[in-house]
Amino acid sequence: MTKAGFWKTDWFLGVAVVIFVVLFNRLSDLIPSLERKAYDLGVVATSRAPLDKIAVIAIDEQSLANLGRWPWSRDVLAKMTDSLSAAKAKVIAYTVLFSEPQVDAGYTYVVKLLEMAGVGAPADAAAPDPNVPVAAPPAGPLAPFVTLLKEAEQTLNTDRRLADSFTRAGNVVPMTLFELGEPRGRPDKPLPDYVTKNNLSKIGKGAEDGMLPTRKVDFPIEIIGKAAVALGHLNATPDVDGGTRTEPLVLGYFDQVYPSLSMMVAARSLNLGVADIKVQPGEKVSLGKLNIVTDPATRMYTYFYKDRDARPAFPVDSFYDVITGKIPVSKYQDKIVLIGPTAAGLGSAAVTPVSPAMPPVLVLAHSVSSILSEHFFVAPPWGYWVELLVFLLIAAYLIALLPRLKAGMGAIVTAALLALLLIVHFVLMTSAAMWLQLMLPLVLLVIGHVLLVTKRFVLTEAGKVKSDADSAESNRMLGLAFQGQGQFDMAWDKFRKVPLDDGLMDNLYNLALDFERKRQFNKAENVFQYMAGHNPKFRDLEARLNRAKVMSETVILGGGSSHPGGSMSLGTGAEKPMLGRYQVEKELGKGAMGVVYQGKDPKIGRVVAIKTMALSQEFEADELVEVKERFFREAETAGRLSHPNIVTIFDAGEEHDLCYIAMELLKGKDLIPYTKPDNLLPVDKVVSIVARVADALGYAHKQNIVHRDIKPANIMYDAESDAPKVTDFGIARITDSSKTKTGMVLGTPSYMSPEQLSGKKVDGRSDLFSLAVSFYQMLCGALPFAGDSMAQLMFRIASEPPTDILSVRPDLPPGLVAFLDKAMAKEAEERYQTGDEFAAALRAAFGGGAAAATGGGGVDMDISL
Amino acid sequence: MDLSQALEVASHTDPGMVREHNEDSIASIAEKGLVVLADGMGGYNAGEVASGMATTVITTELRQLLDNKAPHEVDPQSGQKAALKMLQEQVTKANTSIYQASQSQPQYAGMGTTLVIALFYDNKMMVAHIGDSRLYRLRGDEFSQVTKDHSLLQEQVDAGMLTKEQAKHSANKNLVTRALGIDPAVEAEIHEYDAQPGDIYLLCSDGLSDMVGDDDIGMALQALGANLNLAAQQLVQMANDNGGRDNVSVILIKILREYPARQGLASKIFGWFR
Repeated sequence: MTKAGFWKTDWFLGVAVVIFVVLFNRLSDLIPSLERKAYDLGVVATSRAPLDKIAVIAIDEQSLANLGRWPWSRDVLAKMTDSLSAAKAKVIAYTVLFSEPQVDAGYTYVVKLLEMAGVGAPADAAAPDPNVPVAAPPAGPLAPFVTLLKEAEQTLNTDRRLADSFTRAGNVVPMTLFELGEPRGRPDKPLPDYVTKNNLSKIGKGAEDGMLPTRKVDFPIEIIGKAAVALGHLNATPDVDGGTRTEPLVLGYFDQVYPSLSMMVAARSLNLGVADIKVQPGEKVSLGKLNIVTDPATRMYTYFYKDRDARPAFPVDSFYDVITGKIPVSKYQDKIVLIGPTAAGLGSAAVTPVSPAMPPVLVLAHSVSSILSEHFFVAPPWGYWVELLVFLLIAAYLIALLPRLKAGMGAIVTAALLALLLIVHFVLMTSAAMWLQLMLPLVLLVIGHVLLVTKRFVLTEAGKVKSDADSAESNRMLGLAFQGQGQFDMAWDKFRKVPLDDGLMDNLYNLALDFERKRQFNKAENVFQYMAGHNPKFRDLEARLNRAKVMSETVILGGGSSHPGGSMSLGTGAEKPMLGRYQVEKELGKGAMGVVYQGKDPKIGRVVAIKTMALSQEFEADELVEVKERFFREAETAGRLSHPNIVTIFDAGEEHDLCYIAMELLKGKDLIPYTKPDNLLPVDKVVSIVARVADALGYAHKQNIVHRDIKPANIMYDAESDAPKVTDFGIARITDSSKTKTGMVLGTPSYMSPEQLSGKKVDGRSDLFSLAVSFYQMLCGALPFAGDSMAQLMFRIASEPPTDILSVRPDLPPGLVAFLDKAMAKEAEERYQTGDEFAAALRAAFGGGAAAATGGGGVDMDISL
Repeated sequence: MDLSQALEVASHTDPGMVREHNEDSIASIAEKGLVVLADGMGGYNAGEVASGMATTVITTELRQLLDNKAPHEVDPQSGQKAALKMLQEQVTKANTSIYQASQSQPQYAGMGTTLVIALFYDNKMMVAHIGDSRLYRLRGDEFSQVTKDHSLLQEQVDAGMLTKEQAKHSANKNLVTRALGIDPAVEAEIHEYDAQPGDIYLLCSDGLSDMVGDDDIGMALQALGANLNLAAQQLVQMANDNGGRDNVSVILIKILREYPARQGLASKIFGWFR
């Protein structure tokens, strides 16, 4: 990572994310809204029982339908108040603002008529003016008329009727409504006494702006206000997202402080009054022994009760049901009765954590219950610092730790942090009723992690495009490797990931053949189909595909020997493939350079072994011509050899990119099994075999043909017919002389002569040296020159005498040692110079028995041909 | 454990001036401290296939193995480091894959490859090699060949049949005595060496070592050791200037600082980090 590219580093991205989230939090309501949403969920997750003393009488649609449209005559409310009072309700609160007098259209005339009759209208009967003398009721014929008028006045003055009813009840609390806002100057006129008596006097020390200020207030008209036992405001303070979560317990009005309706209702229900309410602005409000902790604006985080078992948290009765007696009033004894409109269109519903539209009277019910049961939530004053600390910790994690973690561990840690934040948030809310705003660090965590992971992904993706070509090649290699290991399905998987090109077609073709050999024709068919998509004319693809189709639908009985490898697939078709003029019948095995098949010349019925060599694939084009030329030259010279102890070569040719040699098919195996110490042949048998090989070599050397690779592996021997035959004449080391070719691998040079090892020109005497080494090994089961390393071995061949054979096998005839010493002399001039000389010396050393065996061998050999 | 901070790796491969195909293959995983170089042989593109298979199989498998096991851990039973077993197993696996592929697919018959693997861990380096691709070390002023070729020529020199001088002019330079994928089984020569900060290691195919003398290679490394990429390019250029008769591949590794293995809990905790 260079200094210049620091903006590409992970930590820089972390810092950028932190700054972005902070700014975003400032500029947008999205994250605060999210905090509120989490708060709402916390509220819902919390389970508290609502106060059962609270009852709600709703002015709902049913009531409106039966009692006429709102506003009703206050007469109706008076009637309700009276009956509740009779039922001994504890407190009655109205979320109805009686700020205008209700004057019936006929009332003015009734008053005028009364005045004409000389009777003063008792307009303010509740507070009759003492200065106006009440005139005596007139008498005479007008009396019943006046009585009727008076009755009409009584009935029509609904305000007075309601006030009277309030007075009688003595426990009614109606609402006021403030206009929130910073006041400019002084109030228009002082508030009337019945309002100011609610002013709270016990204000403790607190924050300067610990209360929400107001500049205007609507309150009930005098006659009703005076009749009320107390007044309280019903102001809602919606949050940033418009939701109502808090209740402003007190509001400031110039220098005065007024409690909320919920406060007053709660106070009255405890038989407390204004004097019992103490306020510490921005911290808490005390009501008698109740302490209500608030936010910095002296608002309470109301607990909103969930519905239980599909029943509302508070019993809500229809006003109409109560007033008609359908619901007995006695139910409201000692209850806190809250009366207010709930019908749509009356009053503004609030969005609360538990309901998207809650009428004010129900909000009031929740607030009162919260106060009395102390169920409110608390945002502790130290919460801000905790929130800041958490935010900084998360920021530190994103900047310093996450970039160093591996993807998996990073994901785990992030998930753990995420879970921790959520758990802390919800556990605090549900068990401690405490609210910490942890959504900001949470948002930071999520955004930071996603961006960092995305960045890493994009970077690796960029790297991936670069390495795509590489991976195609490596898939091809892995495919070949799997195919090599015999896992064809895995290989097919890998090959399919490589873009199809002409090179891959060869690989696929071979894979399909492998499938065919395993008789998995449906898979082979798949591969052929896939190949046909690239080039349907590829080799004999069409025919193969058709056959695979047929075969995959046919149940094949019986084993039918499978053929692992080889350039020709045998046994799957009805027709046998041809190689030159030979019918290929089966595979015999694998030689050093290619596969060996058993073939048949159909014209003369001769069965042959066909050795194939993929020369054209073994050599580069520029060398190929020369190599082929040499191959055929060698085959031709080897073909001239005709000796009973040399494998006869019939033919050489070229087809299907393969060079082949057709030769005599032998029954036996090579001599390797007889070089094992526990499987040695009798000495006279060994002598007879080696002597005959020496004869064969002598014959070949006379034709100037050197074998170059005489060893037990290249001498075939059939024990039944006792016939040794030298094989691979001339072609054994055909590629040796290809000097420029990289990396021809040399086998262990145990049988090589010193002159061959040092790279000098070799002649027949080198073959005889190798034969002597083979002879030695067949006699005693050990090699004359052995070493722990190749270097040691080569040193011994070049300069040390062979291990004394008698030390390995003491029971051998002593004359043997001299023979072997001469046969394995370091200088070619000191050895037996020809094969005949070698054979003669050998037979002389071991007497006539061996010679007799030689003759017999010759006869057997003829039979074997 | 991530070694990419402790090791600097640079590599370059080139078909040379004469050949059409590049039968060499190189691969490295710096963070695992693994580099592999293979020089394929066999007609047409079979050599490429063999070397490609070797590097791919070995890097793919070793990457997984190294994720799960620390190479410096010592097996209580055998008393050998895990790295040794890993390398032996992967060489065997690669050998089998290539051998089987060459046996079953005629166009790949007879293919094989040389191989050098260097695995760095715990301030050490384990080298496995087969054939005549080499690993050299430059430590201070001393430039020396670490691996010993498995080639006929080397054997002849060892056997005292040729002097080093004669070896330079020998005709059968290219005959290797061991290769991957030729026989059903092969044994890699594996040794462990100490590595020191400042060391520069060179893995190369015979395309470099046949074309450029050891002294010249050493001098080039000393002069350009500060810029490994340039040094890699320069070595290939030198081989090409001298004829470039074979594919040329080089991998250079410089030890920047010590890289001791972490033990126990520390290694676990650091395993969480990138």
